[in-house]
Amino acid sequence: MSAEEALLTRVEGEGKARLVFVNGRVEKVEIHIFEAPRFIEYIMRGRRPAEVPEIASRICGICSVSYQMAAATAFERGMGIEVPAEQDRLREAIFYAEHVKSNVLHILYLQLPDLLGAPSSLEVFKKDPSLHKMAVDLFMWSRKVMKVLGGRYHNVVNIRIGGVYRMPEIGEVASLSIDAERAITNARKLSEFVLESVERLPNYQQQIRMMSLCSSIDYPVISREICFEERRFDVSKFEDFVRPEQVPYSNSLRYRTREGVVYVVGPISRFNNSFYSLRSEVRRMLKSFGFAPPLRNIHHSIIARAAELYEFILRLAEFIDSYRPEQIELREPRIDPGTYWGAVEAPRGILYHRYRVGSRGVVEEANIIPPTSQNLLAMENFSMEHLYRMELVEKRESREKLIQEVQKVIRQFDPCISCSVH
Amino acid sequence: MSRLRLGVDKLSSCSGCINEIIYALLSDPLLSELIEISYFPELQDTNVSEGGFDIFLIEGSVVNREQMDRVKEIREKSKIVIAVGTCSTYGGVQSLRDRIDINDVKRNVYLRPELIEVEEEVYSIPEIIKTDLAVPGCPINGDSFLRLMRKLVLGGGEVLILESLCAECKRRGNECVLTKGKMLCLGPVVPAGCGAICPSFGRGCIGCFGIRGDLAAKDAEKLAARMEKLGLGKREDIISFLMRFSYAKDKEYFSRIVGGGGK
Repeated sequence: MSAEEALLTRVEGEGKARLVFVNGRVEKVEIHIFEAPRFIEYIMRGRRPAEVPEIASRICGICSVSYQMAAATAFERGMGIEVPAEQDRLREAIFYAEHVKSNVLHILYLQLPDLLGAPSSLEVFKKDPSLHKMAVDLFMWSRKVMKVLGGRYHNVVNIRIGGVYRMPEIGEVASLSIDAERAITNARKLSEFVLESVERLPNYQQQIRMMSLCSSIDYPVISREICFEERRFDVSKFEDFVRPEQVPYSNSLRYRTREGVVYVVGPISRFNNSFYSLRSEVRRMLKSFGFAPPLRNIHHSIIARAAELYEFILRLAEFIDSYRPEQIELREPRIDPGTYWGAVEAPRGILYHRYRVGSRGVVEEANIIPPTSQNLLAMENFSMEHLYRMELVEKRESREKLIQEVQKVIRQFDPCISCSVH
Repeated sequence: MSRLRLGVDKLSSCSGCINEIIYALLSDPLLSELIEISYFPELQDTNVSEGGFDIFLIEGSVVNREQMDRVKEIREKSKIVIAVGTCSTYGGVQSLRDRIDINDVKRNVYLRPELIEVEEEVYSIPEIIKTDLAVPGCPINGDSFLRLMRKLVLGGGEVLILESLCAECKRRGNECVLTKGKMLCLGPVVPAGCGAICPSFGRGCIGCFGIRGDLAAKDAEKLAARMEKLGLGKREDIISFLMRFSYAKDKEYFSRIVGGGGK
């Protein structure tokens, strides 16, 4: 037995991939999450629920809004707290902006070289400066949106249980519309560029067991309902449905269903489960390139990302055009003792939170299950499957090449490693 | 002129500051011209650490031996080491589990706690090695970080900020959330640098840039006493609020006051 390992690059956080060889065959792919845990769930104990969204946001700089929203909505729904309509729309808009940020970051800086077979994003940009300009433009616009609506690009300060802290002036929000048209055009072009490039990706069909939030009325971002194939269940039943496990080589827990099924969360699952809730122009764009659900190839996650990028930019632009600030009443909400469940679709998939509040009114127990922890088993399985589907082992490709190919599969999941060891 | 060799690495953190670093590096043509990114696994595949670094940016706090060794190695190889963000400057939110039985902490999260290797304590970078600069912020302000990098690559010296956040509020014309709004605000003891984001959003400063470098942690007690007098909360709660991002500044002091980081 021998092994080859490499640091995971162009992903968020610290991990490595390890290939185990027996008699020249790859026996196993392991993903070692060696980033040290931060025990944020422990830190939440003894704190008032009002503090929880802010602390939860420190789990991730890229998807902090998802963490804040999952925590806030858990308490709101459990306590029947109605978030006034315009504040609700504002929070959703911040959430869309986060999805845009995350998608642009992933497509352009993390995944682009894999998509085009180039050595780095910088090389691609040298050859195609217009692509870079378009991307930076979009990136900067999403940054501006986050700053105006949420205070800053990472760890926004404008989300609380019950609503927001401040509604920006109508003029501030209107200032975002100046570049909104260009952002829509850029998002569309970037999405089309991705869709055009998909033919370069490995083309095989595989079985993907998909889980996502669902909503009967909309493309899901926040919902109480979870869909797994034909089954639908309430978010409070999530821990009855999945079980954690731990392996010696990873600081991140991993999950499968109680029946033992390895499943996938993230854009590809959302896309397949809720395609018909996407805006008609988004569906038209996809159809013009010949894409429709179900996507049955993990490399095609990027199709879902491209679709979502365009979708969420359109939603943001609609929000900006119809924004109406309302009066805010800042009051710390009453949270009774009890257990509270919440889930959102973070850019990388289902993000689940559970909090138990005790008689002293403080959190006594917290459990957070991030998307990357749920995807880890699938990442290993699909990496292995990829090597054999592409006949890379049979072709006696170098170990370096094999590990590069494994990295490509892992990047399709856009793993957020820091989150997974929260 | 040869380009400055830059290294960027992260330890325990949320990567928010890493993203602000990416923003700063990519949004300024001058930096791309004068800096060669030698080590930055989040951004590129080929990473070289031989030959040392002119500037090394470290994000995150230290929670295990491996990270401790890595930080020491970075120090040996680098001319300038900068702690970037509140985690690396003060230990960050995760340091609140400090001084609590680590086995209890591990058992709370893991099925097999014995497999997890972490230290009892969470360390800021200056607790492990000598740093040349520390840039607080949870996350850092990308624009001011960009200005700092420009200054460094053009040969400028260090900057010491002794100004409180209150000054930024004044410049922005914010109404004082503390005196007018009767809200708990840490602005008076927190360094300027974020642009007074929270007060601009109608809420008190939460202290994510940590307590000002020239103030001792025990100065927080004076603030807490004053805040309590103003009826903004109980002294112990205010201290607990203050230490959320500043715990590693003076662990002895804070843990004495509130009895460990976890409460």
